[in-house]
Amino acid sequence: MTTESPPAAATVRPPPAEERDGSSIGRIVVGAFLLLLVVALVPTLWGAVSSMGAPQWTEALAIGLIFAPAAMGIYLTFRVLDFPDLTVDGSFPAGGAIAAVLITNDVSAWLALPAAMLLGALLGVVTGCLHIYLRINSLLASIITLTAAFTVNLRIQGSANISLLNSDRIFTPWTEPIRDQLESWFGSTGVQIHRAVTTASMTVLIVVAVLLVLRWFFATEVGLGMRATGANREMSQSQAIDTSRYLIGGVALSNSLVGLTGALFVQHAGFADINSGAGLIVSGLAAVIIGEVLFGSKARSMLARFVAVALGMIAYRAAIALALNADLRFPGTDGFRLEASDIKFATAAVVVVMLAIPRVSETRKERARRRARA
Amino acid sequence: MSATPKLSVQGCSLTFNAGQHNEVTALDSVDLDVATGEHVVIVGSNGAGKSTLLNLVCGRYLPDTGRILIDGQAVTNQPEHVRARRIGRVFQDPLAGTAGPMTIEENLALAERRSHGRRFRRIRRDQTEQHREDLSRLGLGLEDRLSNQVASLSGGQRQALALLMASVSKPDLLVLDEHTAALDPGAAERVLRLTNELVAEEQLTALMITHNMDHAVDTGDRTVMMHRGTVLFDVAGEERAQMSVTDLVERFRSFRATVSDRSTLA
Repeated sequence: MTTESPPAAATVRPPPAEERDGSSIGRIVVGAFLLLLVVALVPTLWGAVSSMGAPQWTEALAIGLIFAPAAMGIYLTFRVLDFPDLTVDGSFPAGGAIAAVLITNDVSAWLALPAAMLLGALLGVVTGCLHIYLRINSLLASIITLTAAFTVNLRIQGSANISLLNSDRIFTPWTEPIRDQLESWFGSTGVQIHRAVTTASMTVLIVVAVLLVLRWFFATEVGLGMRATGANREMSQSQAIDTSRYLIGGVALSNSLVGLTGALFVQHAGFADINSGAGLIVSGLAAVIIGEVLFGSKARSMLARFVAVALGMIAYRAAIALALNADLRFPGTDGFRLEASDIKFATAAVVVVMLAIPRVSETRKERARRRARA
Repeated sequence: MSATPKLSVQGCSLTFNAGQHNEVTALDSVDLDVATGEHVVIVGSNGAGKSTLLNLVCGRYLPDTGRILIDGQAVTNQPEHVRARRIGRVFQDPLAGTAGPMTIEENLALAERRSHGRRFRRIRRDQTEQHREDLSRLGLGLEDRLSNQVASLSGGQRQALALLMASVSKPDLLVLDEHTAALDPGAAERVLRLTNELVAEEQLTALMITHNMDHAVDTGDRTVMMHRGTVLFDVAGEERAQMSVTDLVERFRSFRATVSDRSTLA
């Protein structure tokens, strides 16, 4: 909320953005459309759900948990700091790159996590400084950082792709015992899901740890100052908050979480890819929005909000698994299947629709108001 | 009053867009001393430099020339967020002085750390009773809405809260930039009355801009009239007590006439 108060004219400002809620007509229209879509897709979706077995679900859960810290980081910049930050598309592969190098050189798979967070934070600091000290627009500043990060990541990795399959990762020591245990419980199904279960059960601990740190941080004076910085920079300055430092710190914190996700992802996937970050911001936004829609945007405590975002990411990955599993066959065609590469388009479309709903209803309300005045 | 003035503005000038066709001299060598406990009301037409002066005092702008001292200590080049530890400020825009997405209690907790600095330490949770008490004096029923989002309050309520936040932990200086101008008459009256009460009870030193000529003579204990970046006149004490709104306007007219004559002849 930037406010340049003109010395003249006692203007009363329009109601703040946080007050918006959808008008009923807008909701009905969108609701009816979604309902129609669901009805049309039910047979296909049902097919997908029934064909999706335990392996697909557990894999979706594992990936959702891995991406949960990134989603929380994106929530932090996008919603708390009101600083749209695309650096994440660069800090994700950066976290993966440094982790991959540390792991393939047999340094330590665990050390790879803080190292990735540090590198992510550094990229966040670069973006923050470009914005604060050179007054570059936040989106442009983050695009500049992410472009430069591509080179840095490639230099760190040495090649566009590194395999970690033959190195010790944080999950490796647990894979065998968990497989044996699952096999004794579920037979061959247990073997199919043992990798995803290992990842999910270890990652959930990391996610809980991240949530506890965030809960602690936002209960401190500094954390409150950071929320204030995002809510109203001018006011924060007058409340003796060095908003420049708080903003840079917040963007760094956000990108360190994304770096953590990068390091976890390469350890699960078994490879690091220089191009893996493209589109992360959009999937993170999708998770933020899904979390808000499903678990409430008015959640009081900061912990509840971050939990909602983490669950949003898990729901998003589950929806993607479902979409990839769906066998969409249109009459007259040989059959049309959603490919993994189609997901980005679908995600972008979902985010646009979700962002459009409040905007559309606001426009409607404004029109109604004008009509009432006329 | 031989004591060090609370605030001392010494020969401050500020020019915007210097050397360009739209060059504006916002302040032209302004001197102003404010004694401890004084409540100064600043009036003047648009573009007189009132807001610029306050922004200079608060550190949002830095002067081209001159010095600013608080309690005899130079703060001329101190960044705004450092100086803000000693200054409470309320803006004209009721949305500007509070954080909408945060609760009333969080906003108050934020203001409490203004003069003490912020650390990685839990926010105090034992202040609720104090908050209730402070809020109840506003007479707006906010004491029962501590956990409500500030965005749900009306402009008048937000401005009253902003005033309370600005005056916590007794700032050296309370700076009010037309803080009642955007409110409806009822709310404006209430916020002004509250301002006077707080300033009197806490013995605050206040600088207040107003466009309301009644307030200019009724409120506070000194009136400063500005025009085109200079102090036109400055009245206090007995002279001010005798002054009516008509006198003030009359005086403004006569001064302005001489000023423009001078600039025409120059």
